[in-house]
Amino acid sequence: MSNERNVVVAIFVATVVVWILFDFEFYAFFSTFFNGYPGNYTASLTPPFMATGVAAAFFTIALLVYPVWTKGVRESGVDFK
Amino acid sequence: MVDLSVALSVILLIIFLTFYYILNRKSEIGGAAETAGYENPKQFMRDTLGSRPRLLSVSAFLNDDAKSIGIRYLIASIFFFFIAGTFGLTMRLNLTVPNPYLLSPDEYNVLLSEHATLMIYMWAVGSAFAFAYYLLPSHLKVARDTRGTYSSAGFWLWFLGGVLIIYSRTAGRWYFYPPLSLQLGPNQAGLLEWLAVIGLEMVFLGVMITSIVVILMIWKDRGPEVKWTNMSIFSWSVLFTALMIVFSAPPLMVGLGMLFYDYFNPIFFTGPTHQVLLFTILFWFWGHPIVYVAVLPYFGLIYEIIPRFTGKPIYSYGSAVIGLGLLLLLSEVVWGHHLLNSGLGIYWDLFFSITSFAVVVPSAITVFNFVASLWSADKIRITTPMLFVINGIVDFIIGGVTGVMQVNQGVNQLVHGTYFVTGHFHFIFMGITTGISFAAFYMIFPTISNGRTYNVFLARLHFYFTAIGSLIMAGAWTLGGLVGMPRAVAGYLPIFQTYQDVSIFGGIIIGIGQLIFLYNIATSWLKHPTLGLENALEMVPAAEVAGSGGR
Amino acid sequence: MKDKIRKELIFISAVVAILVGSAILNAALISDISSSVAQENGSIPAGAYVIHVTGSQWVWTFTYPNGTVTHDFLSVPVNTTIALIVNSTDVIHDLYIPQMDIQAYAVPGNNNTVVFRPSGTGSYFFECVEYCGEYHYKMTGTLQVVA
Repeated sequence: MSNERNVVVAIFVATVVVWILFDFEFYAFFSTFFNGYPGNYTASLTPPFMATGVAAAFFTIALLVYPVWTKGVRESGVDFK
Repeated sequence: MVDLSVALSVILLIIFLTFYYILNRKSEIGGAAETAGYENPKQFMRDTLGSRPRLLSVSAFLNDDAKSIGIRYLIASIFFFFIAGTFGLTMRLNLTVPNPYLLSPDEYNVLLSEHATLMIYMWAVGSAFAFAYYLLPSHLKVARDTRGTYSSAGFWLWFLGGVLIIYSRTAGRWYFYPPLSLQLGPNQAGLLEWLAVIGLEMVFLGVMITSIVVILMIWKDRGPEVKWTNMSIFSWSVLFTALMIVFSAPPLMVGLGMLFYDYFNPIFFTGPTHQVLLFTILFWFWGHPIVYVAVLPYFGLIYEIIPRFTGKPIYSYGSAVIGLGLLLLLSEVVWGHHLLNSGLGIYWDLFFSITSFAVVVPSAITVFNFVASLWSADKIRITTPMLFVINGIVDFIIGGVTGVMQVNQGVNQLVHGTYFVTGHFHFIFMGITTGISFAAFYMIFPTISNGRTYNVFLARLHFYFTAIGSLIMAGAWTLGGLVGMPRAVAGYLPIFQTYQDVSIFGGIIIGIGQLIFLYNIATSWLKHPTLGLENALEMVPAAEVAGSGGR
Repeated sequence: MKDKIRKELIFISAVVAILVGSAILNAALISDISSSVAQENGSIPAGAYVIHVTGSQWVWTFTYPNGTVTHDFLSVPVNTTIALIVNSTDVIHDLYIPQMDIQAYAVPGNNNTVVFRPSGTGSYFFECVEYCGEYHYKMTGTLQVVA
């Protein structure tokens, strides 16, 4: 149980890092891409939102992949049932 | 184009000849039924066949019991999947250079429209009904199957509608926006555009009949031991899908009727007193729910597949059903987000952005349930169907998140109408609709092939090609859309060359994967049967999969 | 069993919290850029440089206040509020200027208004992003922002 909790916490910490990275990433991308109003409003307001999206996807995919990675066994027997 | 139409006419002829063969056979069965004391020969056939497994063979087209209808839908939807897939790949190949070189813009637009229409109505809806008809009689322990005639009529309407859509060479995209779809003339590809409207109306009639039959099957025909509280989650998902179709198809059926009238007497969507945006509203009232039709039954299949490879029940049966039910309700109120920039105003945008944020909640409940089911397992057997399921969930998460991003008005104005949208829904359609269909197909393959098994290595190869190919293709589109690459174009500005090339590479990988699938099925069919006829998805009793919510 | 529901509730409340935050952010953004959201007969800010845009198969026509007409080419002064009144003569088009972050459907019979204000000189592209028939892909053009 505590191991599982540690894994979730570790994934969450990684998610925060991803969020920060993508916040800067989207901010850099939008502020160079847009060159006028309303683009500059989008560039200043939406990077946290977009980064939350990427981070949420990262968090959920990591949660999904972790049990598959640790508990997954490849059997050579029957494949379909 | 001429060759294509000749080929299609031949196909049409074959279909009609088969139909006459059925009529012929019917009279033979009538004799046998009379001897057995049946007044209705079809009921005699259905009772004789029971809910036993059915083979993937042409004989399914001659019987109208539920499982045979399922096999019919399976054969037909895979047939249309390969046609539409070829169209899609041809489009990709035409985009290797910025200016169209392989096809004329007209031909490209025809392929574009047909790819979309066939994939949605014939593949996504068709394969959902295939598994519904095939699996439900077993899941629900249906004792007597009384509506075969209606199912059969629904199937043929749907099938002939699809053939007419191909034949019409429509270039109106899958949304048939007037006035574009009303433009006739040899220089626009819409010479037979009205035929596509008729075909689509036939598809709708077929799908409506089928949905009502499925609802009645779940509601009335359940065996006495199957209660609402222990019905399989797949049955719930099919029930919600069928209800969604019945709720939201009528507006577009009416809209298509008005559109058809406009070909002869333009009064509704073109002409002096027209209102152009009216059709788009009618369209999206159906057009948004249909994309949930393409995921809901497959969520049900994921819920059925996971317990069979983890050996543990689904994390929460209740929240699974509630999540799917909320998806049904909320997906009915988000359709306006397809028209955020059409001039309907900021309050329209505000309302539909809030409902679109709300529809994420049931999707999150569903994904949480999948993930938690995997966490609560002791071991997860990584088989080909399970790989498809895991990849499907990953693709759904990516596709879902890129979908929610578009709800933001600032982002929407950047990505609406670009390849970002194409990438978003191809993630979901490739991962969920296509991937889960293949997963379920592999699971029932020993049954429908009379006890043969597929080559596991080739099946894995098929999985990796499909998964990696769609990730590359849809990923390149998503990134390209973010810098303004417009979708639905026969040519493009040279600055988008890289994104197009990468997605072509991905598309070719997917194409090779599907050829591997065909080769695998063909060679497996030539082997001698070695297995029993049971498969886990259809026949393993609930107790053995630790109560995945009853069967 | 209670533990299960608790975990599920934690996840769902986190999702709901993120969504509520996103919805508030979106509402704030819409109110900030409300004049740049396409709206039929929307209000035009005072002193705006008004350009009539007509989409037709398959060319964009721009009519400037002084009567000049250009095709597939739009030249506007920098740091000026520009109002586009977008219309169509035949089918539905969609004027899309990615680097300004604006987009408006060109609907026959409707006048959709959208406002933007370029802040840097240079050459940008615009496109039609609503499929409009055979040569839809050729409905692109250049936006020139001049000092």
